[in-house]
Amino acid sequence: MTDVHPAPQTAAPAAGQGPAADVVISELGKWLTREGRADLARRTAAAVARLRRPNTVVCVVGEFKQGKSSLINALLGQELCPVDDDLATSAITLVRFGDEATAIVRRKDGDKDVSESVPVGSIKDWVSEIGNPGNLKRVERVEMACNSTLLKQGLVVVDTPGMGGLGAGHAAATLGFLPFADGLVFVSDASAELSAPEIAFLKQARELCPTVLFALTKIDLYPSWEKILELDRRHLAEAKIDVPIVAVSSALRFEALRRKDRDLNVRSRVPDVIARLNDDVVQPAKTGAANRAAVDASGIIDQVRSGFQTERSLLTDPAAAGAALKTLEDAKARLDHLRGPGAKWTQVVGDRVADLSSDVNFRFRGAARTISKQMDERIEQLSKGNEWDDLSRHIQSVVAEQVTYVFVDLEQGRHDIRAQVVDLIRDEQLELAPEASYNSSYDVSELWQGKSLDTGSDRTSKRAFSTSVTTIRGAQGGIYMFGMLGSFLPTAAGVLLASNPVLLSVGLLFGSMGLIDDRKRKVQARRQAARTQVRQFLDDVQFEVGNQIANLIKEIQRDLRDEFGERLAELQRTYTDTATRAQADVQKSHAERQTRAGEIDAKVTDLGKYEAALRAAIARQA
Amino acid sequence: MSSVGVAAAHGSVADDVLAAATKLAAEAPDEAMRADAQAIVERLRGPLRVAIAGRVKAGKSTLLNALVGERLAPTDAGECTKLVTAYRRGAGYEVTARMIDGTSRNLAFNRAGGALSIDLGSATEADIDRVDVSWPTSSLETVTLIDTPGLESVHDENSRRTREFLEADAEGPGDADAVVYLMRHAHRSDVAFLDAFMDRSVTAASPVNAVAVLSRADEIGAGRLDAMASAARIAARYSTDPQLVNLCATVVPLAGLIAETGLTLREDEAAALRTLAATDAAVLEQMLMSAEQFCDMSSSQLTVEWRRDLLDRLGLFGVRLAVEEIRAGRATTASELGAVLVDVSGLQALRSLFRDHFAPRARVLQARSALLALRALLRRLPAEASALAAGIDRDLERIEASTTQFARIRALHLLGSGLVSFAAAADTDEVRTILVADAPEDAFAGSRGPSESQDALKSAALTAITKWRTRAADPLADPTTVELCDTVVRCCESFYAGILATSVTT
Repeated sequence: MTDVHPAPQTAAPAAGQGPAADVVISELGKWLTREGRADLARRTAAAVARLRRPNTVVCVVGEFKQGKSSLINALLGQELCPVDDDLATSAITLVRFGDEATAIVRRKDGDKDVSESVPVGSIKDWVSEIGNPGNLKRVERVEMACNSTLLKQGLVVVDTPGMGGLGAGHAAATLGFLPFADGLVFVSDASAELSAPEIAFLKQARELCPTVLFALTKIDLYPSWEKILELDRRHLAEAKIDVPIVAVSSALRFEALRRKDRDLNVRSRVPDVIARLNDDVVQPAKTGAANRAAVDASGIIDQVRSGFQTERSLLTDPAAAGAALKTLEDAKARLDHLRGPGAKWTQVVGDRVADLSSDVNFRFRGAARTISKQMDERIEQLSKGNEWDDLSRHIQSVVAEQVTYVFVDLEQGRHDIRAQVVDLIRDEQLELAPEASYNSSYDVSELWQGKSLDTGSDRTSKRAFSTSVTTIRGAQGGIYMFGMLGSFLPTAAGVLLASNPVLLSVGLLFGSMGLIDDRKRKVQARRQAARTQVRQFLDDVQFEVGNQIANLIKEIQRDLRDEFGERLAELQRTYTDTATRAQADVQKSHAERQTRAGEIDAKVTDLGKYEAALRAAIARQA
Repeated sequence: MSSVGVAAAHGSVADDVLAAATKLAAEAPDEAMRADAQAIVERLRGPLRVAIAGRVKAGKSTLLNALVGERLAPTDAGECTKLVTAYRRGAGYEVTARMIDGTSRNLAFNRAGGALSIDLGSATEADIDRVDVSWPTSSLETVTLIDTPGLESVHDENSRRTREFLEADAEGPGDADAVVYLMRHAHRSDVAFLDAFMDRSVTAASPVNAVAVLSRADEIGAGRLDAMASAARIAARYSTDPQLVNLCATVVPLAGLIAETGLTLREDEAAALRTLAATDAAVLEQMLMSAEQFCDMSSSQLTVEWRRDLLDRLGLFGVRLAVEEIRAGRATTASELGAVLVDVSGLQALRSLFRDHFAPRARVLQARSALLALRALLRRLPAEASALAAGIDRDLERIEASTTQFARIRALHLLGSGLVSFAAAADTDEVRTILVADAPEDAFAGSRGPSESQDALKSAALTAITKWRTRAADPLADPTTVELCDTVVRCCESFYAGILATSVTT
């Protein structure tokens, strides 16, 4: 039979040396195309693309001046990110693999996006507080390439501006970036135990990116770092934050590299961090992506195979055909209903999306009102020209922060809605042939959610996926619909919005009030004008953000409907095909049925081979 | 900014406030009010109360020890200070707890490990409002130092105590006359705290009573030998940062641990450092690379216990510095090393800040916080005492209106911080001379020499009044400049009135 339907030769695992998962899945895609299931083949193509996605993004975050840039340099073994006693990092910096060191600055010039290559040595003119105070150069981010073995596997390390500094908008930019990260390294130095704001930030960051590694830095400088480590561990336990902790000394690492001293390198503990980074962040992210692709593929395999198997069982037992066909028709009818406008899940999507929209709008309006009040108070106390500049920086940073929250909220809302719909559809019991002897019942959630491959019949872990957002993260890189500026990464919400024309106009907000106007009797008038302008500005922001929210909400709704609609359509197609073929089979002669049974067996064998190869590939990777 | 002159003239305003407080202490209708008023009187009579505040682990207790010159407040790697603790000069050694319920009780204490270890006895921290430590040391003669729990603590309870103690609210001003604020880098929460500490009711916002210290300065430069120079640069930058300049008078760097140990360095510690310095150079370099290696390396004569002690006392920077000094032959004995350490630590700069910034203004600062406290107390007076309240309130109004001292301090700050500057340096000098002057002779002596006749003084005063009044009315001047000019005019007017008074009597 294999000569009629070319079997997946690649799928024959030769003692642990089988093809990689992406090869198996793309073979499966070709097989499905031959079977006339282009719809399912499209989905395998998406899974392959996801598997081949080369980058794992790790963000290094924490309060400012804790040694984030130093840690990155130590990890890379090169002095790439600018480090200074005083100057703090002020722009997001991505570092990925490249044969030679390059640096590209992405910034706004007027309304245009500009990307320019700059010498690596001059990078501190762009990403530090002193070289680029108040981000006057409007840098959105800097992308650097460097030849480091650590990055060769597709790791992208992101240096972020620290929390808590006096600069404007940094926190928002960092927070806005986190949903794109596969993992976080949270940095705090050994000079002091964790503070309340650090714990609060860690909690918030973990919501956005659950894979976190805690790095206690500067242990060379502090004799009692072990005590601090213990205190931090206790604080984290009290806050119920369970993250692995590593201690590290960037200074020793550089000393070791300078002296080529292997022993000292071990003492710096940087190799430990690299290992933990690989084990705790990079590998889980990669396996997460692989698992999800595998789950997708095996869901498809299950679906197609159970169709064939149902047909096959009818071929051998024509007496049962009537009842079986009726079951199929029932299932088709249920699916018709589910795909129709009256289905409960569509209503749920509609309702919940509307709720989400009003929640987010409400929260943002509330925040804008608070900002407006605070600005009024500040304006009341202002007198001098340079203070007005502070004011506009301040308003820009607080507004950017709130805007970031809006998008973070939307993203979280989307995950919640999705989880709820998955539950709903699961409750529909759409198994094709529940009474069939072969264990073909498949978990609906696996059609679109990443759970581990071997939980096909394990229904106890029903909600496991909703808490582990990581597994779908890699796949959903494009969820922030409003920006795919970069070649491999979408721009952070905060940064993008901070350079939005409306938000930028705040810089000009008080520009018209020259210093020459400092006449005493004009101060009141100026304050009044400032208040009006602040309100006008907040109005504009609300209008703009309101529009953005409305668009995003529409897209979220459409995406959810499309996604579930497609899955249901695939399922219905499988049912319909099965029913049509089964009906045709009934009319056939005994011999014809024998042949058909043989054909089906061959197809099922093919599918079994793909499945086995896939399992082997995933097992090898893990 | 020299302001010795401001101080001398300011006995009067403090005396006026003291009189008002004494009156309230005597005549208030109920016991509790009298006690509160008496407390204000005591505060006015006592030394300046300076609180040491900052985020967790900023080095507050270490700084306190450095200022006192002995290891008094307990310090630790983890969060340590949990209660607001005032260290005042007293005849004997005594530790008193003021309980939440208003009572006080003596606490047992010992100094076994060097620092003070206080036994709370049957009380718990939650019952105690604050702790008073009375200690016979000359360094606390002119100032009472108040150690506070760190802000932004994971244990919010501790931070709350500090905020309640220091921040002005509707109930009255904070309980400190001045604050030394420690920060490791200017964090947004540091700015927020300094902002909250400002009381805006008297003389408007002004950092006359706050200085910031860039603490643990040796660690900012990662303990390198040039770390303090780096810290000084950062402190200088913060001193002119627009977000800080309105909140504190200046920012100085300080390595508290180095200062504390420099003042208390023992001869056996110096000997241990000498042993260390005698170690083979290559080994020493390895040892001084990190704290861990310092304790691990086996090739030194020094026992591991000694090395740990040295690290605890000096930190990596201190050890590096001491070894460098010994090897260069610049210092060998405990007293020589101690002097070098104190010198490098930046303690002198902080002490002169106390001397030049707080001490001359001590009475005014005290009068200022007493005035605010009295106001708050008056609001709590029961209705039947309204006549008393109105009387004292009138007194306070008069004090505030008749003195130029609060305004002068603010004006000096405006000038000193560069918030107001004049194109001509001569103008700046003239304003400063007038603002710090105690008597008309000092204010208008100028180039005319000391033997000034009354008439010449009078005309000089009138000239100055006219000049600065014109400046204040300049339509192009910004409001702070106008405010400064107004203050100068007020000063000149009061001097003019003084001259007239003397010429009438003579």
